[in-house]
Amino acid sequence: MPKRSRFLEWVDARTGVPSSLDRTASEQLRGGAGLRYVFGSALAGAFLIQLITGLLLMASYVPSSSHAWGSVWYINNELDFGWLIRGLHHFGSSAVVILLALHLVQTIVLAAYRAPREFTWWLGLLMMFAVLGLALTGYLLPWDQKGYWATRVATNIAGTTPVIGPVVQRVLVGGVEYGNQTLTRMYALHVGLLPMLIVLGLIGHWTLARRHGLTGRDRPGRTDSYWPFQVFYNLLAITVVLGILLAIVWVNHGVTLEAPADPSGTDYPARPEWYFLPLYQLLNEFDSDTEIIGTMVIPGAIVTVLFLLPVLDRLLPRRLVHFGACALIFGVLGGAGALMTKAILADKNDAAFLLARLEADRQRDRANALADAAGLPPEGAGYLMARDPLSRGMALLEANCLSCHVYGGQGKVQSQVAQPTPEQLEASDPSRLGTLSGALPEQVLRMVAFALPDDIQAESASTDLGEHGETLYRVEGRNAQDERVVAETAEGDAHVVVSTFSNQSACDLKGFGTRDWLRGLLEDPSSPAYFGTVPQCSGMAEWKAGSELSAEQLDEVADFFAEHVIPYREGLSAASWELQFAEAEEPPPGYTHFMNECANCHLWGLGGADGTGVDSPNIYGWGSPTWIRRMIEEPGARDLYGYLAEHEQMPGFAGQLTDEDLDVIVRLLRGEFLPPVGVLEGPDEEEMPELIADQQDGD
Amino acid sequence: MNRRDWFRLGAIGLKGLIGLVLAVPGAAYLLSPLRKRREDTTDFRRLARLGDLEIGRPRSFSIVDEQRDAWVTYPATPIGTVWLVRQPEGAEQPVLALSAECPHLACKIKLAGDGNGFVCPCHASNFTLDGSRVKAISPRGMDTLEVAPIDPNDPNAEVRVKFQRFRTGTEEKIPLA
Ligand code: FES
Repeated sequence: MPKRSRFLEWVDARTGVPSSLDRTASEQLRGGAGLRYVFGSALAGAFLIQLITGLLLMASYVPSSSHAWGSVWYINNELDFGWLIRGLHHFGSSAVVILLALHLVQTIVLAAYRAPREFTWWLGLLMMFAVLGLALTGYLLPWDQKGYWATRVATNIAGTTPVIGPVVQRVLVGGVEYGNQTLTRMYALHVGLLPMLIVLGLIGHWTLARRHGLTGRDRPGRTDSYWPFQVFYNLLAITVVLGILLAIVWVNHGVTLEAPADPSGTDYPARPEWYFLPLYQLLNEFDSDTEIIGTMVIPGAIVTVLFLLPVLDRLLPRRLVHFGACALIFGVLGGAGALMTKAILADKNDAAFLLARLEADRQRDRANALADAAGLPPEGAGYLMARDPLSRGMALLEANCLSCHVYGGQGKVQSQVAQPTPEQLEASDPSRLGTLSGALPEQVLRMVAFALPDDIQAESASTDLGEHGETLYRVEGRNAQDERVVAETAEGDAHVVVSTFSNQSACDLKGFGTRDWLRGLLEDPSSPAYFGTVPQCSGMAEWKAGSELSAEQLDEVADFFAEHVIPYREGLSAASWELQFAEAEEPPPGYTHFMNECANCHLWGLGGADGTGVDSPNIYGWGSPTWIRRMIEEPGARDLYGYLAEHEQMPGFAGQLTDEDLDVIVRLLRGEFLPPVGVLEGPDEEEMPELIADQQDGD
Repeated sequence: MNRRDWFRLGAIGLKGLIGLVLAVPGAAYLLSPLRKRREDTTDFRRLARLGDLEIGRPRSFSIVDEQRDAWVTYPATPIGTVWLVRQPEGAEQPVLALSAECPHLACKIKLAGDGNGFVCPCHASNFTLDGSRVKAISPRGMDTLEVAPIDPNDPNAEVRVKFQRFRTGTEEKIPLA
C-alpha cells in the first residue's frame, strides 16, 4: 500500500474514499489484466464522452420550437469545432448502444447475472433503458424534420400502450400538439432525469462490481493488480472508441441538420436512428390490429425474460437457463440484424422513399443556404422556408398557378411512382400500348402498361444510356386532357416514374413584374412566354404588327416602366402621378412613345371596356407588388380583365391566400430571392451578389 | 523500467491523450466568441444634409441597422444615437459627430437643459459641446465618430458618419469590433 500524505490521511479518516480507491487499485486479477474486461469501462467511457459533449452543446442550445433549429445550425456552422462536438455527441450515441450490446452479450455469455451479482445485472438493465431513452429524446432536440417526424412516430407508439398509453403520450407531448412543451419535456428528460439516473446507476453498478470482483475465467499464470494494468487496457479501449468516433465524424463532416420541422409537410420520409430500425421494421411486420405484438408484446417479453434471468437461474437447471439466455440474446441480435437489413433494403428499392428523400435533401440544403445568407427570422426557423419564395412560393405556385401558367418554361409536373407486384405485372396488358409494343423489352412494356393510367394514348418510346451505363426507357403519350405524360424506368428497376405535364394556357411567370419581362413582351407578345398561348390577350400582338417603335425606343419604354411605373407609390393617384410627365418640358422618351402607341388602349388608371371597342387592363403601377397582388386576387375587376367573358378570365384568389403567401409569390415572380446553390456558377454570376444583398436588407 | 512502469506510463499517456482530444475542441468551441469578430461592415451612413444643422445647436440622429443575435437577424431597428454639431465657419471640419453612448458606463447622453453642453443622466457627467469632459467622472470625453469629407459651402452636402462602438470605462478609445 503506497504511503499517503497527511492531507489524504485526514480526508480518508473522514470519508474513506482514498482507501477504497486504493483497494480498487490493488484489486488482484487472476489470469492477468486484459482486453476481455474492458467492455464495461469502455461503455462508461463512451457515456462520459456523451456527458462532456452534451454539456458543451447545452452551452449553445435553446429548447424552443422556434429557435432550437437555429441554435443547432449555429453550433454546426458558426461555432469553432461545433460540428465536431455535435458530431461526437451524435455518433457517440451509436457507440454507447453498440458497447451496451457488447457488454450485455458478454455478461450473458459469462453468466455474470448469477448470484451474487443479481443487483448488478438489474441495475445494468435499468440503465440500458435510460440509455435508450436518451437516444430517443435526443433525436427530437434539433427540431428538424428528422427528429420531429421520428418523435411523432415514437410517441404515437407509446400512445398505443393499452390503458395508460393515451395519458402517457399526452404527458410526454405536453398536450395534443407537438411544440414547445414537447421540446422542453424531452429536453428535461434528456439532460436532467435520464443522465442523473444513469450516473446514480453507474455509481451503484460500479460499487457492486468492485464488491464482487470481475467475472472471467480463471487462467493460470499471471496475476495483475487493477492499477495500472487493467486501467491501461480500459483507457486503451476508450481511446480506440474515441479514435473511431473522430474518424467517423471527420469523414462525414459532422452530422447534417435537416430542414426545420414543418408540421404541415406530409412527405418527409421519417426513419429512426439505425439502432431503432429493427423495432421500426418489427412494427411494419404487423397489420394495424396486431401491431401491438410488434410494438409491445415481443419487446416486452424479451425484456421480462432478461429481468428474470437471475431468478430462473435458481428455479431451473442452471446450464439450461444459461444456454437459453445465450440463445435468446444471439437470437435477438440476429433477428434485429435481419430486420434492419430488411428495412434498409426495402428503402433502397422504394422509389417513393427515394424521391421523398431527394426532396428532403433539397430542402435541407436550401434551409442551410438561407440561414447562411441572412440568418433566421426573429419568429423562428419555421418561417425560414415559409418566407422563401423558392420554397413556399414555388409550392404555392405549383398548387395554384402552374396548371395554366409556367415558370421558366416549366409547368406543373405531377410525378407518381408505380411499383407493381409480380402478380400485377402478370396481369397487365402491354398490347394497350399499341404500336410501341415492339420497341421495348416485354418486361418494361408490362411495367409501363401497369403504370400508365387507362386514358393514355402512347405516342413514342425511346431508350437512353444512364449515368452508370444502365439502359433508361422512356414512353411518352398524352392523356384525355391532352397533357403530356412521360413514363420512365431504368434497367433493373422495379418501378416506373410517371410524370404528367400540364398544358400551358397563360404566360410565363418567371420575372413577371420586372423590366426584362416587359421588354420581352414588347419584343414578341406572341411568344409562349407571353401571350402566345392566351388568345383572349391578342391585343398586344395586334399592336406589335402595326408598331413602328425601334428596338431602342422599346428599351426606352421598358426603362420608363422600370423607373416610374414599377416603383409604384401607394396612395398616389394615377392622374397626379401622370402630371409630372405630362407637364414636364422634357418628359422621359419612354413616356412619349407610350403616349403615341400604347395609350390608345392603356390609359393610366383606367381599364376595361372603354366603348371604343378597345379593351385593356389598367397598367398604372404594373409590376409593383400592389398591382400583382390585385391581379392575383381580383383579375376580373372592372379595371383589370373585367372586360373578358367570365370563362376567359383568370380565376381570382381573393381570400384564399394569406398576405404572407401573396408576398412570397410576388417575390418569386419578380425574382427577389436567394439564388439556389449551384446557380452561383451560372452565367449571370454578376447579378447574384446584389440579389443576396437585396434580400438581406429587403426585409 | 519494469512492466508495471510501462503500464503506468501508458495509462497516464492515454488519459492525457483522451483528455486533450476532448478538451482542445471543447475549449475552442466555448471560446469561439473571442475569435469571432464581426466583419467590419461599418460604412458611412447618410444622416442629414449640411443645411439641416445650425451652428452650435446639436441635433441627434438615430442609427438604424439590422441586428444579428447569434442565429437570428432582427429587422432594422435603432441601434444607437449620434449627436451632430455644426462647427463655426472656418473650422477644419464643418460637422462634429459624437456618439451618444457614454464612455463611462454606456448610458445615453442628452443635451443639457441650456443647450450649451451634454449631460449623462446616470452619474451626472457633463461634457462641453465639443465632447470634452467637464467633470472627471467619465474616463474620457465623448467619442467622436468619423465624418466623411463635406463641402462646407454646399447646404445640400450630405453628412455621412461612420457609426462605431467603443469600450466603456477606459481612458483610451478602443473600438469594439
Ligand atoms: S454612464 Fe454616463 S456618467 Fe456614468
